[in-house]
Amino acid sequence: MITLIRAKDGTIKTFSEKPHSDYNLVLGETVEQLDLDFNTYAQRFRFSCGGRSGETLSVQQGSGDLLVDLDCPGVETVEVDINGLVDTLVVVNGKAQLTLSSDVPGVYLLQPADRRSYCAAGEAVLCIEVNPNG
Amino acid sequence: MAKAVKLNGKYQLEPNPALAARVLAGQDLETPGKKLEEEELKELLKRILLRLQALENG
Repeated sequence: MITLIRAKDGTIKTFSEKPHSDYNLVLGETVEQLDLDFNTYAQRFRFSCGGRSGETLSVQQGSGDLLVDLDCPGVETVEVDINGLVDTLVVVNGKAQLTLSSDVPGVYLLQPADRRSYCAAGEAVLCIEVNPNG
Repeated sequence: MAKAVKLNGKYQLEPNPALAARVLAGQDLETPGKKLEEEELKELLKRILLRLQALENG
């Protein structure tokens, strides 16, 4: 059983296996119960790069393109947010891919754009730091 | 955080002037002991101001 806590605007604030019966809701927050196990729920939207997920990755500037995989079963398209740029990816057999350039140093922050459907936490967020040369 | 743009099917970061200036920080630290041309001084000042602005904007 999964417990979801939604913010006033309907976006998913957090989720957990605990019932959160003692959780103090902020004004407008709501609680939902879903009959799913934690892993199934958490893997509805999961980024990975080079097989690594849920952590900050670090690469050197100019080290080639970075191929990011997205597992998102049960949908045909999905919106992703890349540093505020929202784009729609086509999902085939529960999987989508996107390519990031490492030509310019800085930080990529990838997360779900539809925060009412997906929680931006855990493996649904991927941070990739491109370190400058020099 | 730098903005991302999509070019030729892949995403890339827009260059961050402050980060580019920071890359030259080590080199810039050596400059007080050197005689600089006016143009070099202007570039050095620009890099310092860009980094200061980024620091202030936190």
